[in-house]
Amino acid sequence: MKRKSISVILCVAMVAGLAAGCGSSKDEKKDGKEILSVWIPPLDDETEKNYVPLLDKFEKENNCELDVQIIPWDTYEEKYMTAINAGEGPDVGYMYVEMFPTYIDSGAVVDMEEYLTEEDYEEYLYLDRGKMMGGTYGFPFNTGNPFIMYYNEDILESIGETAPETWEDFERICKKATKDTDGDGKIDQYGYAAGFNNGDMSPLYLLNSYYYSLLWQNGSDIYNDDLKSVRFNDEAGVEAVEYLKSLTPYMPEDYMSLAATDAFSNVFGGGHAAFACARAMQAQSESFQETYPDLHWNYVTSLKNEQYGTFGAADCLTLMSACENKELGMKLIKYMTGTEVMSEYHKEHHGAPMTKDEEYQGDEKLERTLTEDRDKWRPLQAGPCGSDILLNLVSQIQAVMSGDASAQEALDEAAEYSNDLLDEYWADKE
Amino acid sequence: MKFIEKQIANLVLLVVIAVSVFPFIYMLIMSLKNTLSTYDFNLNGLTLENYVKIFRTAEFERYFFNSVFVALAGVLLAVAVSCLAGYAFAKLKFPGNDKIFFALIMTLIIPSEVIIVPLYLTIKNLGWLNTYQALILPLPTALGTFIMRQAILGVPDEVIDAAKIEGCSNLKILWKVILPLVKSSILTLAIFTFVGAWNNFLWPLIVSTKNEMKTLPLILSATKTQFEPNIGLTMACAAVNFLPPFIFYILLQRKFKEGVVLSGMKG
Amino acid sequence: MQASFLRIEVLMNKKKRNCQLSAYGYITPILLIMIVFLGVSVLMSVVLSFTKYNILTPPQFNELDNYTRMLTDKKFVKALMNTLKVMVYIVPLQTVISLLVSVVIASKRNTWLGKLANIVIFIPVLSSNAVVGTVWKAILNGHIEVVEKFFAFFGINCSMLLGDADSALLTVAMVSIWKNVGYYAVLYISALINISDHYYEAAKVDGAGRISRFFYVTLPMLKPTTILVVFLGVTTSLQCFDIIYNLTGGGPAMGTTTLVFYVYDLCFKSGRAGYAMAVSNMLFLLILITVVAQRKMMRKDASEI
Repeated sequence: MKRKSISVILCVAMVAGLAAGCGSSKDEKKDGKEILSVWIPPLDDETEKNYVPLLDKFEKENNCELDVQIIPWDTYEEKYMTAINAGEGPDVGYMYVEMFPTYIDSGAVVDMEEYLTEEDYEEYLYLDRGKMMGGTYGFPFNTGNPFIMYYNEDILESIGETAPETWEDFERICKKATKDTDGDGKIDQYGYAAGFNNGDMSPLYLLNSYYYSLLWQNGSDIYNDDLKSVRFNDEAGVEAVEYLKSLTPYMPEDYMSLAATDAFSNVFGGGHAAFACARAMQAQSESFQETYPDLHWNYVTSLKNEQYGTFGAADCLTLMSACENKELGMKLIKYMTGTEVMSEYHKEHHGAPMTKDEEYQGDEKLERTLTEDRDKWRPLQAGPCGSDILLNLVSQIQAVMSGDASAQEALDEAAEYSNDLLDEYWADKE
Repeated sequence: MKFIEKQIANLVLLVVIAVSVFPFIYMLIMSLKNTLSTYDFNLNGLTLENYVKIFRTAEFERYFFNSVFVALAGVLLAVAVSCLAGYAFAKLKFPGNDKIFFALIMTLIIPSEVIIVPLYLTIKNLGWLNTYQALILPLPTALGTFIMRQAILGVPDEVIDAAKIEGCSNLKILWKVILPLVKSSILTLAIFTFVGAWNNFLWPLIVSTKNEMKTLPLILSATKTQFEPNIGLTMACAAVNFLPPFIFYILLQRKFKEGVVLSGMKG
Repeated sequence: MQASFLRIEVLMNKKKRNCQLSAYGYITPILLIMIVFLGVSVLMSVVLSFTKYNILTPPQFNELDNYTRMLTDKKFVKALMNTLKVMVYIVPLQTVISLLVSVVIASKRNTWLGKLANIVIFIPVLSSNAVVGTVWKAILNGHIEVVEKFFAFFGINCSMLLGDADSALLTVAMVSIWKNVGYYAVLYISALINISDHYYEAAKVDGAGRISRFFYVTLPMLKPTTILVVFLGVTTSLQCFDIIYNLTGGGPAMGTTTLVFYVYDLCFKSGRAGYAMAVSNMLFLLILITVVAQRKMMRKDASEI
């Protein structure tokens, strides 16, 4: 017994010793080299191996050291907020538009305009999409992946239809496609594979997939131009939601409990639906082709009602205010997005070219979204209280879709909630 | 009659087994596939590719060691502090016994998600970011004290009094008399602490900004892309993450019976 | 006479004091951990609840704004109701199921079936959220025929369970029970194994049947464990988060948004951490009041929790 007790005590002591020994190691400049910390999310399933080594050359050329951290998507914002709060944040960060407003307001990110030259504007294709709330806070790094309307060629052919162009086309084809194909009395082929359960994705994913496109196609938007109030409950906005609701008979019966990603993958991928909305890269990924080899798909970038429009995220790199050497940070951002790194990276992991000089290496069929259809998609307006407003809007739209509220009621309520928040926000500013 | 009773018991066990085991089977099958479809059960083309990908992660052993070390150290710490405190609350009389215990138990109500920001600030002010103590020291919870107190309450006072008459000190009584009697509760606490420490995600993520301090779940989560997670890879990660605590559970759980034999307590 | 009485008193006092001191020594380590890591954090969150705070910029004092806002916050009320409902769904059922299952497993622990059950019952506890979310979504979306038929037998269309605000909450609660029963079963089984056969033999001699032995021996002997299980059930169900996050993401239409979920969104997604702290303090206060009231009412049993 005694021996045992001694060994336990030893163990505890060891733990304490080790713990103490590993403490207190501060960021110090190693032999005069500057250290830049960069936080990015997983870009693919082995980012550490596929992307990070491409930056080695930058370290050598600029005699600095890069500390690249891969931050998991699941708790992305949590990590950023706590770290920046404690002054432990990165020098260069990767952010999506919904994240920006809070960081802009608190001065955690830098307006990069002064570091951008005219050549940069010519070289980097999407710089205009990094402008928000009166400054260039984002440097688009991962974009060109809009939500497009996929269709199943076989199904459309079987009902004698071609690619839809307008809302009327879309609804008509949905209606024709929804039917029982094997004669057991149960519908097994649907018009629109949509699911309004966000599951483990952010609720905003539902807006990305199903809502913004209709809202924009009908000529409305989330905010009014001055960002002082919202407009999604205007006539066009209500009509858009009503249209979405009118499509429910052509969706799988369990559209409310079906996860949006499963709707695309299992229902559309499995060949059970005429249409599905998802990101352009989704169907060209290798695993999608492996999983659903028999699917013949094609797509239209956007339907048209008043106008074209669909959502395409513009995830950006941004220069954090905490970065000591801003020139170097900016140089790194340009390098990370630049032709050299990206054309190498996109060889294996297809993505839209970020620069004029980079060649497109993805699926031929999808190149259209980046060329002739480029103006049919755009990122979200960044606006104050963004997450709050949009999260609330999602739950109201879910209420409409499940039939618990009418479009007008739900949107009015969401607008009231949003405008209250905005009033408070702008009152604070003054 | 007895036969029917027996069959009902067996049926209950079968249901329990079936209901518990299916996610495990699902996880194993899916982890051997490369697919996006969550209902794709066909067994052609099984591959170990996903596991290879995981084990090929640079410095995999380091993260594995971190996880094991943090969890085991957490278990030792939690068992030590909980046994001491549990004994005091159950068998020693001192002013404020009830009240302090009550206050302690109330800490279980605090949702960890909410205090994570203040907790982070505390750790930062202590200068403990990127250290093992930041990962280990917050692991013991009032739950351990609660479990040990409930267990020690069940130890008859006569046993303790007898030891006292023999002139044992409190600490000796705890060590020699009480702990062997509540061995199974200690094992339970060890299992719970290990599992809690192992699956901790947000906390290690926040307090470690250096790769060498990261734990296994953090590294595994870095394989998950934003939009089209490969179900196969996700499940392989889950399986890798699942096994160590499961083995720990099986090892300790087998000792439950021994505990009784050792204690040899009759009435 | 007087003097000797005094001396005895002094002696007793001395003994008592010894005892006290060592007891405080025993509880110091856990208290220290709790105070440094939890106590300080809670205090900070109370202070922050009176401020406007987005985590990134320094907090600004805004008096009782956060608390008055709560009074008119429909989402808060909705989340509070959901939280209470989840607790009511989970705690009784979970306690009964884990007790019964444990009794069966413990009584059969020498058969291979019992051993196997004892091991696998912990699998759901250990399964990561990704697995739980994926598996249950796959099952509930009605693509596994057996399950679909099982539900259809009761007239339930299982593919709709997550799609309706009311049934989604119930479903989430049931999945949570499924995941946690193993946890509580481990507690029960370890306690059951510690009940000496002696008691059962005595009861048998008295002619008690299986069922009365359960009620007159097992159940009373398990009382400390049951208190533990119920208390833990209450606290964890009030903090239900992970399963909701993976199964419904708080939807549809806030139908499964619990207080902790709401607080989390406020804190990290909406940048309103000050308000989030206020809401969570309110939750804490509510539980505290309930528990204290319960303690007052059941004075006698007070020492058991």
